[in-house]
Amino acid sequence: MTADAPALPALRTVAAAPVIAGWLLAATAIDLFVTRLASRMTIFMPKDPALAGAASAVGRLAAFADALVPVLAVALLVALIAGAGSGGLAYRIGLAATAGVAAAGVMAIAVPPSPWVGLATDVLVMAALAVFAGPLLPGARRLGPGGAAVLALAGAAGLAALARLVESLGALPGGGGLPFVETGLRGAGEVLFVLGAATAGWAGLRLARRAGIMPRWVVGAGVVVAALLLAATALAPSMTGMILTWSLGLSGGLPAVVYAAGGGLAVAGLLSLAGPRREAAVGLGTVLLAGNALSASGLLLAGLLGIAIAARGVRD
Amino acid sequence: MMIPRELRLRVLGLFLLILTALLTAFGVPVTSAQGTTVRVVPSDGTLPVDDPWSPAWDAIRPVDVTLSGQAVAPPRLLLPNVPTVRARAMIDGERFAVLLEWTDTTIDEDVIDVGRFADQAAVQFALGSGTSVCMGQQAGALNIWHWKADWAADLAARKDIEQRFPNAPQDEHLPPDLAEGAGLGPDGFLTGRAAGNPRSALVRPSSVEDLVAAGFGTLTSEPLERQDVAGASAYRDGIWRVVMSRRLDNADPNDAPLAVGSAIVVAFAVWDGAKGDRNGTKSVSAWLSLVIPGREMSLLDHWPFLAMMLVVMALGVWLLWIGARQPAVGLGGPPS
Repeated sequence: MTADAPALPALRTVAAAPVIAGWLLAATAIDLFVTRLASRMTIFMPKDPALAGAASAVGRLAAFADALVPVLAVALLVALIAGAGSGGLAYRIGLAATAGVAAAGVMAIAVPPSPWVGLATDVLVMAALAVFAGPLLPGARRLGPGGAAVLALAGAAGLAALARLVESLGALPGGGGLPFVETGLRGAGEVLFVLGAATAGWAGLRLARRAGIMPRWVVGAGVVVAALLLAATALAPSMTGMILTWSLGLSGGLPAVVYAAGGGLAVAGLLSLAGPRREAAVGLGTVLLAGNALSASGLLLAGLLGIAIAARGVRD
Repeated sequence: MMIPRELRLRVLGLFLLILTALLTAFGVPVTSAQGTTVRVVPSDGTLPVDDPWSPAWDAIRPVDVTLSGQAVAPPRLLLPNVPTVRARAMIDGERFAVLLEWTDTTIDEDVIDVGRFADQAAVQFALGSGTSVCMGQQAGALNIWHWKADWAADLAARKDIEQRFPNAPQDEHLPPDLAEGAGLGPDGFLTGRAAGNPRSALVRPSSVEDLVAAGFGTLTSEPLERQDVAGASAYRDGIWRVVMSRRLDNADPNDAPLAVGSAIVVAFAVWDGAKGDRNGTKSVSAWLSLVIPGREMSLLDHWPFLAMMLVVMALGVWLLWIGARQPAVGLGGPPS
């Protein structure tokens, strides 16, 4: 902004952006625990009249949560665009690309997307990720684990988009197939996602330790999550793998201790980060709760916005 | 009078919640999925429904679908015996055909013995939204096409216990006149056949069973007159290829709606009989999209999509231009 350009009053939506971001984080958490976990577990319930009613109620709540994520994500996108201001040209282009991704997601509800549309959407996803997280690369060493976490999670989302892009290319008329490339890209993306979760947690714990504000319950929560993941894998490995796939898009192919460490660190670290670096915690939390390479358009949009918020949060 | 910021945010939050509740109540979908997609290719000539190794199938790019063990309901399979299945699909304006291909070191098509199981493959189609990949649920049923290697072998030459154990006494087949004397009809002592169990039938219309399910334990074979899925299979060099096909126009509400210009959600399952796969012991996929385009489409055919994306991005640029004329702090909120 130049000195002779008078500042206009902020749009009303601008002030709402940080609040909507918090709502989106909460909605994504509800979507994870109700839509992607509880409602899918109801298939194991006996269907006598009483339990069928309960299962139906969970299903309705899950449908509401499933709709709430894209509604809040679009609201946040509008608020971010309106407040982009001095965010830099690249950041603004990233938001415009994200708007294109949102539009494609909405249109795909009515019209089955062709490989061309899939290709265009994934190019926009990768462009948005590049402009949101790319500026962190030059100063990655100074930014420490917070920056590394955003880069790893953006890399995971980028590899998932690249895998879909390869698939779309193969489906074009005359296109050839490289199916093992897609599998490899998805596998590498999963490794980056788990690394990103662990690094985000490390960033939060390091910040809290330096500030001398690390409540015991926060560490306890992380330990409980890690212990639960390990115990579940030991007692019911296949069921745990299935739940990981359903809920977070993780294949279960990595050693259980890796998922446990990533989950435990992420929970403890992000809870620690929530006070001193709210934006970073909200952004990283949204990305992690939205899952790895899940194909639902609402979660894809939430994950992209989470990267945008986290990238700004770790820099500010 | 300035409306306090807190009140404005509460009103905004309430509006978004009501909007979401209305969208949910009226069943307006707001989420789409860009997962693995099997795109149905229009056939240039005759649909090769009877020839799984036709060059026409080879001309289509297959979709490699990763399978996992069915680990949800007993009997479980923790690790998949068939790790991947390749899928292709074609239409010719009248019929839809899907080809499944997987590696299997043995042909298992003889089940006339305890402990012998057949190779099998299945495609399940979601009937409406709100169903589960695990045999469906009350909110949404499934239509399942289930090919069985033993049924395919029976079509060529039916085998029974006499062929497998030629010297065994035939005491399980009691004389029909005895059954008729008891008022039970000629199949009176063949309880499966008398009950109309398709597994016990002497003659079947196809190697593919057309089924419906709406949850665990609800798998039901459609009546004989509605068994309208054809099958063809061939084993070559350690690879099974199975084609399942059906007419597109079908008014049966229990059958998959396969219309040109539509998309439907599908999943695959494969059984390796030599490894003891049967019933729920199978290798299964997650949901995939099956897209049936009206015709081969070029980039310009998607003008509504592209126009919508351009309009939204233009709107974004316009908003960004407005945004560029005002200060931004953090996420765009006012200085605290």
